[in-house]
Amino acid sequence: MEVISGFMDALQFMNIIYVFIGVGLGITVGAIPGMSGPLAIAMLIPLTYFMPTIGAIGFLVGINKGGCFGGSISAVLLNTPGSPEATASTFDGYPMARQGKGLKALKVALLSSVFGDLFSTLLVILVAARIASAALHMGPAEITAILILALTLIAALESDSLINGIIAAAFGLLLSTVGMEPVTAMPRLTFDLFQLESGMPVAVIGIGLLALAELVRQSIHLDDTECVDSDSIADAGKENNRLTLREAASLVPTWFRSSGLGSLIGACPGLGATVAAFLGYGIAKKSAKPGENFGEGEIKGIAAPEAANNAVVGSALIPLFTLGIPGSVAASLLIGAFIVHGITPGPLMFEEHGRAVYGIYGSMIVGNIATLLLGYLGLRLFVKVLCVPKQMLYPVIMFTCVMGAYIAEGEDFHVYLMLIFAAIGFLMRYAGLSFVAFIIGYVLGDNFEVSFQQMLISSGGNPWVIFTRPISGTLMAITIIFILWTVWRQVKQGNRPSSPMDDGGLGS
Amino acid sequence: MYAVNIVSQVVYMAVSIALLAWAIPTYSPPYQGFGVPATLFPNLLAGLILILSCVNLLRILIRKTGKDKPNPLTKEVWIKFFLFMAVLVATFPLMNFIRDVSNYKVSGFMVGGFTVVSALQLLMGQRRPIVLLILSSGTVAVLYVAFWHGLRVFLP
Repeated sequence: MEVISGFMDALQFMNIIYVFIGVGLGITVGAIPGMSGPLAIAMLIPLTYFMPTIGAIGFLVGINKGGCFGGSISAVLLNTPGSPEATASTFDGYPMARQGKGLKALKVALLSSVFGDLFSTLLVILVAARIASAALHMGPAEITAILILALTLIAALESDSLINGIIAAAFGLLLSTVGMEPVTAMPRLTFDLFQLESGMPVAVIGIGLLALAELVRQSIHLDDTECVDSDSIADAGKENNRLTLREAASLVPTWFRSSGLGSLIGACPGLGATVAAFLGYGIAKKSAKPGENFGEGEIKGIAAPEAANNAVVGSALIPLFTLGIPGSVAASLLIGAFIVHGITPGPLMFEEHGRAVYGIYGSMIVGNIATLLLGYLGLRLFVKVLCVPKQMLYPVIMFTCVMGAYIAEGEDFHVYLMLIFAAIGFLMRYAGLSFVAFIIGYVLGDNFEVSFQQMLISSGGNPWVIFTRPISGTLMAITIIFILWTVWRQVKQGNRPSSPMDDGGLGS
Repeated sequence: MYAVNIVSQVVYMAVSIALLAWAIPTYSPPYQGFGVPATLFPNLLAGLILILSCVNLLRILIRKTGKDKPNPLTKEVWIKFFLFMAVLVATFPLMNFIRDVSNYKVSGFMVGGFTVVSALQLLMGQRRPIVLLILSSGTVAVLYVAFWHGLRVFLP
């Protein structure tokens, strides 16, 4: 019954509209080089406080879906990926655009994106509840061990240096201790500021750390890309830009392979859409048949990375829904929206808010349809976004960020807090400290501390219990092996902490 | 980049020492005699940061990490950063000041917002007066309608 009610909620007119608006905004933002879905989510979370639960989550998930596809528009037309995960789409997308097949390349990107996204959405629907019911049997030691493993993976994979990644995650965890202490329910590390007693809102941190810091950084290094006239796409030969049914059918095996790969990568916290896209492209290239010229405008060279990176969008929600662990920045921001609407992501979510979960599933499917429709019908319109100068765009977005932080809590204090995080985020980008690990650490902090305390209390203060229980012991062994492998790899490569200016900015 | 690498590790060390020696003991509730002390988790994390930043600092000093790369935080970057931050920090004091002086609802948001968006545009190199005027007034008007009438949020 909950399933039907949930899906019916998703099909309510206003909820569908919110998803469509989210997808439209996501494609628009994703198309602008340097901006991405997570950045837009951070900025727009405060708006969702005024929406119904399903509409709010659908809106944010829609932004993420749209943003992931939107990144391919500038990748294909300008050879400049709108977001890091679209980088692999430039390899064959741009050569196609130069051959006058830009529209065809975008059609392939759209269909591949929708396929990858739908594949992973269906996977979430099929497996999440089963994993969640298994997760309910885990005790505090197992939860602590799984959180340590997740944070280690994120710290290592989102940062060039494992140590810097762990420092960033530890700072995030430390920040989460500000507010009410879970056992005594008394204020801790609030510096006698009553505004900090309930902790710091994720939306405020997200706007500062992800959105404003990145906008200020890009404004300082302003580099307006060339503009593509959408008429040039329209004028290109129709024959050149027609995607035949036979061509689409030839992409199906690539779509399945890349979507499966992307879904697997998305379910592992920290790996992210960029890794999926490059792996998807690499495998497609390795399995190329004679006559398929990868790097020279091969449609499978667009289909593979696009299906893979969009599959990550859905499957990154698997650890979030089942264990409460966000697999990506976007998922960590979604936690903030979930909590505002009274839902705590994790295994209990399926028991306590079953109807809402199925409503969110329904919204995810509506989001796929919205991406297909808006992407197909509005492609020429979205291309025009590439022509808006950043000189005009960024001041407007920066001011919206400031006002967004204000409406998040309705207090000037949180605007200043957001600006402090913007400054921190700006400096983190230069110091090589992963803001992705930081924000995920912050989001996981409460859960981590409670599990850690419960583990100590239940074991009579013995922290080694985490190594002696079978499941937690196995997870800790995996963590230690992973750390040793990472250290060995970094020593072998002559590891150096580098600036994240090299890694393309926002992770997905 | 070498200097940035060293300074960043020193800052992490300084922050973690300040937390361990002053902030955590001063601003944590006392141990109640049951459960886990409120200071345990933050102390563990601050200790971890201190140890790892020491290791990182040693590694940077031994390997001279980043010496072959130029410092990305040039004087020009700092100046631009402070200018942007100054404008953004001034947003709410300016709005509140204008509201108090004019004693008219949302005048602070209107005039203050217009000034801030214009200043940000100027910082980004926009010099065409007509664009400055239209974009600033348009942004403020759209946000006013969206926040005040749409979301019914109180604006300064």
